[in-house]
Amino acid sequence: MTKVDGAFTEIVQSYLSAAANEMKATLVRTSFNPVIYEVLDFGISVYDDKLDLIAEAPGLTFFLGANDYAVRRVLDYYGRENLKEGDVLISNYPYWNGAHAADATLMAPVFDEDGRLFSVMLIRAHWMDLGAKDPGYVLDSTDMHQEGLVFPGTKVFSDGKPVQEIIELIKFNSRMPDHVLGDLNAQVAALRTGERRLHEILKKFGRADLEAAIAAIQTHGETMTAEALKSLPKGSWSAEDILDDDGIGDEPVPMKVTVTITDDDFTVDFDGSSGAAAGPINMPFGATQAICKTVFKSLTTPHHVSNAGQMRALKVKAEEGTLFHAAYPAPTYTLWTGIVALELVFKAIAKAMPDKLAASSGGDVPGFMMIGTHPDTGQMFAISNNEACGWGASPDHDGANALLHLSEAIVRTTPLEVMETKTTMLMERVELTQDSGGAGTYRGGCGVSRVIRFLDDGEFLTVVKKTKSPPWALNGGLQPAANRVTLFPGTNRERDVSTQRTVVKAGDRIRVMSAGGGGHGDPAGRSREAIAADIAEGYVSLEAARRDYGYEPDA
Amino acid sequence: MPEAKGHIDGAGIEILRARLGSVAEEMRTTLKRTAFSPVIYEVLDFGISVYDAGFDLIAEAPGLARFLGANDYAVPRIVEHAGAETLAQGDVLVANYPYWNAAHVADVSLIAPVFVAGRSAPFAYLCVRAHWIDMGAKDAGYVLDSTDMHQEGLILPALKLVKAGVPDRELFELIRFNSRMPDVLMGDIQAQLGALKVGEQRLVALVESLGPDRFEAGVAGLVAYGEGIARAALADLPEGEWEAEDWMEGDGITDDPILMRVKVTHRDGRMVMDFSGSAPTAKGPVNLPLGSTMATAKVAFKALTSPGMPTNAGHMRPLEVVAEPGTIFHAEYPAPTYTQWTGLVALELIYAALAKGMPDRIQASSGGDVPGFMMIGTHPDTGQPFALSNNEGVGWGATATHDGKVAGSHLTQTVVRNTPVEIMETRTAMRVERLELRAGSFGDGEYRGGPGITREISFTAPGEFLSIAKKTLTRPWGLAGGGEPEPTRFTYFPGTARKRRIGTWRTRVEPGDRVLVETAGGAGYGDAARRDPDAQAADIADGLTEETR
Repeated sequence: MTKVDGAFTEIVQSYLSAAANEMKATLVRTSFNPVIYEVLDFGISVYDDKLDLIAEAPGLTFFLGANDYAVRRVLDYYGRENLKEGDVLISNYPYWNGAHAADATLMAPVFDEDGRLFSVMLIRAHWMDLGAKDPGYVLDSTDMHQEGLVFPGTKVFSDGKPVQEIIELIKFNSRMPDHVLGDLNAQVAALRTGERRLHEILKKFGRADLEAAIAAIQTHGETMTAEALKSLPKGSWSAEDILDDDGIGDEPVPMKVTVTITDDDFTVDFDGSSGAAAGPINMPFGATQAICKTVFKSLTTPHHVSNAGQMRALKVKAEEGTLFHAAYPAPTYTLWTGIVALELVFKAIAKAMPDKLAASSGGDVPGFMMIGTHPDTGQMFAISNNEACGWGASPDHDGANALLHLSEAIVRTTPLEVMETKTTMLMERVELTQDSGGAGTYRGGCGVSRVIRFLDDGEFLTVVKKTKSPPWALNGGLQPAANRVTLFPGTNRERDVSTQRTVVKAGDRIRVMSAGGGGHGDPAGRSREAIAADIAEGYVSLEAARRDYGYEPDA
Repeated sequence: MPEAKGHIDGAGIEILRARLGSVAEEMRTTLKRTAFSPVIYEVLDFGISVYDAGFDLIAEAPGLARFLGANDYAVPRIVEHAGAETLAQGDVLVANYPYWNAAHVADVSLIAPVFVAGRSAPFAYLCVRAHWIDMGAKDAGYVLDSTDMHQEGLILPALKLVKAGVPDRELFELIRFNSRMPDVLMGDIQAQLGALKVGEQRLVALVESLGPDRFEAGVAGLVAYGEGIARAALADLPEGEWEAEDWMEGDGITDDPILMRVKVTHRDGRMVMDFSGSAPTAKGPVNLPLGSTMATAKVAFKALTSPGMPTNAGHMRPLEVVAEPGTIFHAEYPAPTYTQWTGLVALELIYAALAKGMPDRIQASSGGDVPGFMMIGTHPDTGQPFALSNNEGVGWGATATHDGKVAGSHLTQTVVRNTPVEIMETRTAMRVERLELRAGSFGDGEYRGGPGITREISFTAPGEFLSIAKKTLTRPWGLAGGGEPEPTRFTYFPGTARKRRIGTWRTRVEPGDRVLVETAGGAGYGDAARRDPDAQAADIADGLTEETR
């Protein structure tokens, strides 16, 4: 008689999640790079021997979804039969890894006592430098080879021991080898933590019962999703948007998506989008799938830990060789396309259920980075921040102020203290931007204004692909102001840019203003109390309240 | 009576020298016959060297002289990094880290230790250096404006590409994925490995036929003989201290001229070539790794002291090279080093200094530089990417006793050849409309310089075209009153509104576009008034000059 009942299944699920979370703790505690330990820019996933997702640790959702794609493609290339206990493979070939070349995926197999493959664990993290054409970040590459050293699927640990030649190769090909090797070791340490825990779990429960429980978890995920799908409207809806540019030219790049929901399937089709772009905004197909997974999950099983069963009803289509399905050697470094596209998918679905979804949340993530040599240490630095934006208003409440974009999940901004100590940026102001949220029955959240002054020379870059058009509103709400990045405000060199790398000198200033969220519902429907509170809190000025809401304060 | 262990006589040494030379020559033949890339099998852009266990050069095959000198610097450093004690029979090291490998990233050295019976440590080393067609640098084909090493392609510090005869599959895969032209590259690597294999077999057979002790004694005798020849030649040269300076055009980033300076000191049986006072590290890729500077110096020294003999380590013993770290002649990480034209201009700079002390031993300037060009594109017939270059011939400088050679590859290129028109036209979308001697390009003199070349290229499909020339604004120098020739000139899109004269540039080209290449002539030697009238008449009859000149 099997002991695999509901309680047992739930216990197994918790054990597996705990293993993934312990891997996360190891990674955060041991990594060298603030993008990992502060920003949490990583993805940790655990797969069974069929490479179906069985557990993951909270991280960047795009990374997690890309892992599902990468694990299959890389192991198809490498051959599962070539993996042994103690091996670690590294891959960052964009078209298989589902991300740009800077995201390095390390994967390790776990075997049971009989030497049979039980699991493959995977940790993806952003590496500081792999010798791309520019240090820090690449905004204008025209092929993959400009984007850094590429590993197709290469053993960096074999039989538990580092492959010295690959370690040397990484060291010589990176501008910041100490950081990169430190992070590599952190990823390996996290994999070892996971391996130990999975061995313990195997020993505790036995492979047969574990597999039965995992099968039950997957089936449960699939069933729950199928039920959720039934409650969604059926039909087909399209939406379009544009990216500011491709990093090479100034032409806007069109994106189109059609979402079709039936009783059984949820299909996201990017037909009608731009072909392959000359610049690095092309999405590997694994990255495109990851976006769609984020949307689909939030609509169907938002509160449950992920597993492969939950994704079986999702179908993603994008023709190879187009913007949403990059083919070698298309450049893929600036993956902001995916951030804008996430909202595009919501925009299409919102046509079917405007009363259930929130309006646009800033439309994009304004990212920035400073690259330079630290005056105290003489060491090179490259520190980035993904700025928070105002979230869209929903059918029953205001949008949140200044949070990281929907696409970033639990990822955090880089703390000001880290920025100011590790770079030569000084934050003169960081505040909510008054009047940046779109008006509506429910108001969009406010974006952030940040004024940066440079204490020493260096390079500064911004990445944002939606500044030329404002985020969308819903049901008669108003659109908020778009993202805006201004170089050298108040000087004769002042200009607004979107994606730009520029040399900065000590004393220069740059202002980053992230977009607010879109409004939901007619502004006329907003209560006087809410408007008065907005004014009192400073979210909305009296002038804007008069203009958008026709509001007059009590005499 | 049996010979004493390790004894070898003069005849034996000479036989050994010839046999060692044929080991290197067979490696060369193997490489040429099996390489995929015309830059190797047509242009001969490679360097093959054989070293003894102490890294003394004992044989080499004719190739690019600067590659050969670079090997001398690179092999000990690369073996040291890998650890000689970790090497086993059948291992092959690969390296292109510029500051050790003494060249830009695109030149990759494969090094094999050779083991013989009865000796546990490596007995000798073989090195085959060749230009790799693409390693994923910031631009396909060639890089003119990198600002650090990392933009210049995949770096291989000193890795075992083959372990005990078994290729490291993962390393091969890594190289394959990081190249824009992996099929050609993989073919060339196999050709290099094939050449090493042949060299190993021949060298082991040679050592076994003599016995390792006699072989070592013979090699020691060979190197000592080389040193004796060099010292004797040096003793015939005047002592003194001579300086020269020149300016190189632009570093690829800015147009600011770059100061190059050398002081050659010959005293007490030593010759020191000191590049102190040259420009600090340039922002663009014109910096030379020290080993590359040394290789340039060796070309000049060898030509001066033992030009008729195959090189070994002994020939170079009296030479010392000085270049301060952090200058263009001693690049340090992460200085960009891709456009090594500095070394070409510098060879003539050394001659300019030497000419002050021994004008009768030196020829006037030979064009001053190597005008190079390349087309990069996708072949309309095959759909495959191509990147094909040519180093154009220049007129050679006149000497105290004869006219300069007509349009040959520059002094620095030795046996290296230009790319045949047939290869250019079939492998790329270039059509050579015109290829002729450039009349009036040489410097007059009692002995005149050789004329340069005029080549007009049209394009039959779109692509990119680039040229490299670092000496187009100033004329090459004459000697003893000889005249200065015309400098090299690249004219893009002649006869159109887009016409542009520039030395080093990369641009898009469309079908129908044209580029005109005019290379410098050689400078003259001696007063033109003393030129033999018959020689002058012959030049006119040959169309090399006009009567009025």
